[in-house]
Amino acid sequence: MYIELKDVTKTIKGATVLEDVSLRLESGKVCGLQGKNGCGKTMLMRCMCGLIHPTKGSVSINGEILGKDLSFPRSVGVLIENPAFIDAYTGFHNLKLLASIQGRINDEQIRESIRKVGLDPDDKRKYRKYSLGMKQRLGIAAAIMEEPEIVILDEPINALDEKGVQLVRGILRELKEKGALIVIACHDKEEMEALSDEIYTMEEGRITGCLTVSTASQQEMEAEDET
Amino acid sequence: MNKNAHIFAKLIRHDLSQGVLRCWWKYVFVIFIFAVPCGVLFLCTKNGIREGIVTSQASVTDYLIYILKGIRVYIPTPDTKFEVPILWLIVYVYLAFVAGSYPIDDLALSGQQILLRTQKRVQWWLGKCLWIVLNAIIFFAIGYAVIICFASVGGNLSLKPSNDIVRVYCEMDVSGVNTGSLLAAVTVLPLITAIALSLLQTTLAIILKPIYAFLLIACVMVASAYFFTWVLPGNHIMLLRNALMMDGGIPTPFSLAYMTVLALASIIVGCVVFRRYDILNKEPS
Repeated sequence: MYIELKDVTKTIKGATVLEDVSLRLESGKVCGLQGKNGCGKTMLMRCMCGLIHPTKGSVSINGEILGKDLSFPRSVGVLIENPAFIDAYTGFHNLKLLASIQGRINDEQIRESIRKVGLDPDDKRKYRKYSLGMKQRLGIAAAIMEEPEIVILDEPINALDEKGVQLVRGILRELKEKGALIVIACHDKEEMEALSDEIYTMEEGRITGCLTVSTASQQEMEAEDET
Repeated sequence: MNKNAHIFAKLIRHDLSQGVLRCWWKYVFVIFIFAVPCGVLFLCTKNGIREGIVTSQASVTDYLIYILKGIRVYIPTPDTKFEVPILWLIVYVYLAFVAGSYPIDDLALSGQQILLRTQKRVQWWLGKCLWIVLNAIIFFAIGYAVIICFASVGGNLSLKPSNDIVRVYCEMDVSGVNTGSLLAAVTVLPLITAIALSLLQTTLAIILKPIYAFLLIACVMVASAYFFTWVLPGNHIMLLRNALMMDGGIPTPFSLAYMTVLALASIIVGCVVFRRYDILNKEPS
């Protein structure tokens, strides 16, 4: 499984938000996107999951071009910007609605995903009553519940407490071990290094650098988590 | 059920739940929009019977004619004043408001996650088109139900128009008009036109923005009242401009054909545009 971006340029209302981005991201890795606000991280993620189309260049998933051969990646879990769910439903009911479309997972698997992010699947509170952190956790649960081959998470640790951050680290580790291709964006440099295998730095819509994070430093962080 | 049909059924269920049940209050106003003119005609005919102007309470068709008659062709002269057909306009502008922004707003909410799981933009778009059709049917079903309630209270559930009521309160003569043709012009035609206009509005909402699409449709309806031309859709749904009511008016079969073409063209253009549409996180309008 791989995502390949070839010379991707995106212009919105005359402004270039992505410029000549070329990348190849492979499964079994966590790829981080780092950069200041407005540098194009979210746009790049939207391109990768087919929500927006490049003005120039192409995005392909395993050789199939998005917008031409495919509308969206065949197996993708996405959390981009704020999670959006139906206010009047409980967390479980919201995920059940999403899961019912593909019909790949059963209720117990949905419950398990909710537990994984530290929420109670039997919580009767409606989504509108959720705190920001709970909403974020539910957004992550929605992205991972179907065990997709590609997971795209924009600022996954936003609004999360320390315990929540550790849960996310664990989830990403597990997904990686299962061979998923994970793309994350995070403004916290330390956290990014802890979570990612490769970090791409973005500036004004361009990729300006790539850093491979050493396993040693990650293991150090994992050890810290365990203690 | 194959996978595509299963996904399509789920999309429709979601749209009915989020686009209809969750917005139930929008449909409550439909009751008022139809009940107010029905109430006016009910009281008028009650007084008319007492004064001997008319002989019976209004029938179902009388109410429909009263609400959907529109205005005669306007010919601007120094002595004539243009009067906006308020009753008629409110019905269609409110329909535009109800149809308005849901399909696009849904994308800013859970619709985005749903779209990713459906895997096909075309299927999602067709699901929204079906919602638009259902929305127009529900809108008019509520309207017709209100009319039937008033007609039943007045004790005249007949589909036959009453010549005296239509002459006195709608300033029209329906004495020589076939009831079936008249009914088609005040039931089937408004529904088909409403569907076509809502589809056009949603397609415009993708290209422009929901609010601009709504305003554009409202302007088209006002322009339809002012200018008599078959190109402007509003002219097709003013009974006073139908061939049944005036020489040189628009025949119902032509209107039905035009609206069908407009609806299909809107679906196709919307489909083409939506396939390349950028889904960004916008706040619901």
